Amino acid sequence: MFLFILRRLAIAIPTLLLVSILVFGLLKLLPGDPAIALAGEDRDPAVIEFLRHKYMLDQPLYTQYVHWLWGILQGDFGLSIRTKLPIGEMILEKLPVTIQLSVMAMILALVIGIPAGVIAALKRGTPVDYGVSILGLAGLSVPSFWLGIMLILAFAVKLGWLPSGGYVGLFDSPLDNLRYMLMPSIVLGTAAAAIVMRHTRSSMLQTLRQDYVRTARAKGLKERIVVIRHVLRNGLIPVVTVSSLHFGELLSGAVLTEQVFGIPGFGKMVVDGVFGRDYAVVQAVVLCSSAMFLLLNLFADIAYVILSPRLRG
Amino acid sequence: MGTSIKALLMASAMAVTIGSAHAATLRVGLQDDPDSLDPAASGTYTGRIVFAAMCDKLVDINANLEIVPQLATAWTWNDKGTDVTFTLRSGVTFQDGTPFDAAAVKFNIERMTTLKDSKRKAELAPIDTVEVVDPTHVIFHLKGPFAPLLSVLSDRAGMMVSPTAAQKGGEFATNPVCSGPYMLKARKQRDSITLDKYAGYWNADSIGYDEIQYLIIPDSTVRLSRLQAGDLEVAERIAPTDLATVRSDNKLALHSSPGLAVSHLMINVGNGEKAKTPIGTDPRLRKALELSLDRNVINQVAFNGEFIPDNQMIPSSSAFYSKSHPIPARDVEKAKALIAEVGGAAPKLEITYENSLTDGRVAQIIQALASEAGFDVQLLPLETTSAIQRYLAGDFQAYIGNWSGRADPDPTLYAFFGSDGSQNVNKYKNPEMDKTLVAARQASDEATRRQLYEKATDIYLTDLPTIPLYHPNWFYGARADVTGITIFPDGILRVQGVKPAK
Repeated sequence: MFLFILRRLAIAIPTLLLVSILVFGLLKLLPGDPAIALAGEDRDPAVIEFLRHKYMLDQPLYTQYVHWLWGILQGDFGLSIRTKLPIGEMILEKLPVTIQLSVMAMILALVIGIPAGVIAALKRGTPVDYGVSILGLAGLSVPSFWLGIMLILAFAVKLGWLPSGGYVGLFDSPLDNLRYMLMPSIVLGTAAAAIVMRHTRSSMLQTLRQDYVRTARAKGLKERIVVIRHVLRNGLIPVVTVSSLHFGELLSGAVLTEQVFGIPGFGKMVVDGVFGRDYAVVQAVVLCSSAMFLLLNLFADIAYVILSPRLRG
Repeated sequence: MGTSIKALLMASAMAVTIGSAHAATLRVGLQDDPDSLDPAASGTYTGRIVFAAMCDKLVDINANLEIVPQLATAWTWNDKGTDVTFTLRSGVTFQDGTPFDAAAVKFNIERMTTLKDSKRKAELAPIDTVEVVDPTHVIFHLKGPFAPLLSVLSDRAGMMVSPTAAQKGGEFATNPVCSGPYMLKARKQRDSITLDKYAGYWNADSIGYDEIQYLIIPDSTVRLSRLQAGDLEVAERIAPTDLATVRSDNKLALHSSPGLAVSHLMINVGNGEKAKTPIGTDPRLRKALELSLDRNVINQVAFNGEFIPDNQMIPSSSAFYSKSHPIPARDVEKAKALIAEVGGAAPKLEITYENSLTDGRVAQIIQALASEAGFDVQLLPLETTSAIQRYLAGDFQAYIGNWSGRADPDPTLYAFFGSDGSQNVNKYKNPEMDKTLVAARQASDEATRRQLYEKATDIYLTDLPTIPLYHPNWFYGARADVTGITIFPDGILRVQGVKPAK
């Protein structure tokens, strides 16, 4: 197990390097010069020239890349060309926010999605199954932006129970923090719950048809034990895969939800980075997200092994 | 004894509660995150809103676009219009305690004109040298007469920063020190800018809040809902479609002003291959295009009729607005006749624009209206930075431009219509226009300048290198219990005098 983890971590390094080269190259393909994005309304050619030089935009691509990578290796992500704030600090500030939001949304998704999926599978073809499936479809199709605004109108503007947006640090005031994070987690969790529900349902249905389930029933085991010990345990493997992938997506930032609730997370940072051609910001965020994605995949693999002993070896 | 201690504790607890209720914060929702917080290096419009609370300027404008005192209390021009002497307010200190005096003014102007990434160089180029007479008097010696100078100093170029802080080294923008009523406390990228009141402000009575928080909320619907929920005191740029909501809510107040900005359809008339279109080469076709448009329809459909349709670059709030050039009514027949007079196939035109909701709507309306007169209009929406790059390179046939405007007509008219103007990317050139604009710059009395700008308006409305469409209005939504908000045509929220209702 330990070796398995080490091996996976070793593979992560070249993967990240590849990602960094890819992101770097793709960003440079974007039309539009960062110096122009920075130069303001008057766009003095002398200023544009100076900015190009200052941010090494007049250097060949590989020089820029090596310079950037060298900085990263020393723990220096560089300065945002737009606000001149250190990117490392920006990430440290935003990463916990995004992680908290993703974790809360994912917990919500699992707590709602797995039981709903199990019930739908067990009651297949009944009105309960149809009801859960329709709700799931609705959860998937409702645009997060719209759902967010509706929740704000209901709970912040009309009822006044929750703040309409903004953010308070978890350690500054845990209770307030929860109040601020509740609506955004619901918005993000709704879509995720629907996905989890659908995968749980189909995977359960497949497992229910397996021979060992029939054997277990034939042995006279109680239905409850058959479902929990045999069906659910095996049926959850694809759910783990889907959830970890979705969790990774959440971690790379939920742009619209962050926008609606004014949450200072990764999503806004990367979008603004792209529009302002703030290359260093985008590269740093993508690199961090990729690293987290790789870690999550590793966790998912470990979870498979725990759920299904056959994969140990 | 025990009871009295309890009572004391309760009383102090109450005092703390009441005290914190009065430790008021003004929360302002902004559409974008400002860039650098150094007035020399800043290029965003939103930055100017934050600077208005942080950095005082030598002079300011009032609602009628007239120059009024701020850090300078008086000024006199010499006869030739080449020297201006400022009398400075005494007893002013920067937020780090450094005194504000003539030497600080000299330092600031020199910093703005020499700093490598200064965006104020072009604006301050007419200044030759700055001479310190005594601590409260300073003379600006100009290279030649330049009437718009005071208007330039009413914006970022006139903002004074602490010489002590600026010379300390490090990024000034992360720790800016000015002499305004509020000073920077914290900035969270893409999230918020928090300012604390500066107790040593020269006009401390005008400070109404202990703290201002600018929160970056890009979506106007979200800004409005947070204002409605009472989580913001002020929200800038309320969408025209949301104005009815604000007007009908008695907990909210709408503050508005006609703006200086102008939206216009620039035609490439002289820059490279893209200028060689029938419309780019023949002013009659540009006139036909203008006649095919109905500016009122654009205003009604795209902006609920809340903006001001216009055919001039300078808005009517300016003393230099030309009353003798009214908006021409839509005349499709006359447009068709002009197209027939020129002859040839249906004139083609590709309109490039930054892909925003508003410009997109405007472009589509133009396309529909112009096609009725026989124009073949294609639309090319591009993401902002790519669009601007093409704009600067003159790589467009027509472009929907949005210019924020200035208090004085010179920075707008010279920039767009002077042959070496900074925004003259479509390479419009008319020697008569150049002569008129230079003369208007140098004339010192307003009547002469007015006459000259009248003539300039006549020239550009004949040549039509760009077709002005409308001037946006500024709309701020605020909680009804915030008093003292007045919005000027520059759209900047001035926080002096803004106070919570008692």
